[in-house]
Amino acid sequence: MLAVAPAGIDVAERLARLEAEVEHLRRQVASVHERLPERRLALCVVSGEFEKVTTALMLANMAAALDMKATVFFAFWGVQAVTGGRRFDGKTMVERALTLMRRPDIAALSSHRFNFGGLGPMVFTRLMQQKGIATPAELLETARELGVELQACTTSMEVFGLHADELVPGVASCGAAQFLDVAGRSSVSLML
Amino acid sequence: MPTDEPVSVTALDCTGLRCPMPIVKLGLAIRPLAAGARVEVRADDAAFEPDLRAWARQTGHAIVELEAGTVTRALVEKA
Repeated sequence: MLAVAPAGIDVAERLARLEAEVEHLRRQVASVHERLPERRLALCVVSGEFEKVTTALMLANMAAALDMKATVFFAFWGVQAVTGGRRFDGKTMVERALTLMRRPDIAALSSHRFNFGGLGPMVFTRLMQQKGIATPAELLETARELGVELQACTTSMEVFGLHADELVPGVASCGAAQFLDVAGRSSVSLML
Repeated sequence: MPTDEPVSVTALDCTGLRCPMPIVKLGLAIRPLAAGARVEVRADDAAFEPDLRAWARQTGHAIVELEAGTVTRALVEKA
């Protein structure tokens, strides 16, 4: 056998190597492209307080109106904003107690300041209605209409013993990696 | 005789509504329309004029007319 191949045969081998290199680069470009930021607002809402949930939904709705995509990830107390009632069956005693103590839905959230046993948020809601300001419940409804992606943290649901059927329809459960993946590709990401 | 096709104008009254609802309603109203269609919007929210400019910048839709006042009137055209 000849140790050195004739020049003509070498071209085919070099072409094959070049093709492999191009394919490798093509995959790398596709991978980078997948992680590029898009016009999206990603919010992580840990608080279940009236003020923060209201602000988060106002921002998410406005983002959608600006033709941005919007994702709101509700974690821990924030999950209360996207629950739609209570169920007690299939739960432990502690979970039942938690179910009884947590706010049943977005219209019953406590406020951080001036709560006064729930009287504060009632007054705020009334004032907002009188002044043409969308209430948290209206904002949640509009968010669903606008296609804002609403997600409840699976681990938080587990802590409270929340079942998927206790979430408002259209709210998906979501893991942390999934949210970080979205947040990493969002042009704006905030935590409330 | 004018040869141009008549431009459809949708009227949208957002008076009495506060931020973010005037822009949210405008966003919802313009979504189903065809490019070139216009929306005439009226709003008395204090943030409406700057918000409308930000909306136009972000979405690429055009502000054709803008009359600022106690009630601001704007004519916008879908891009």
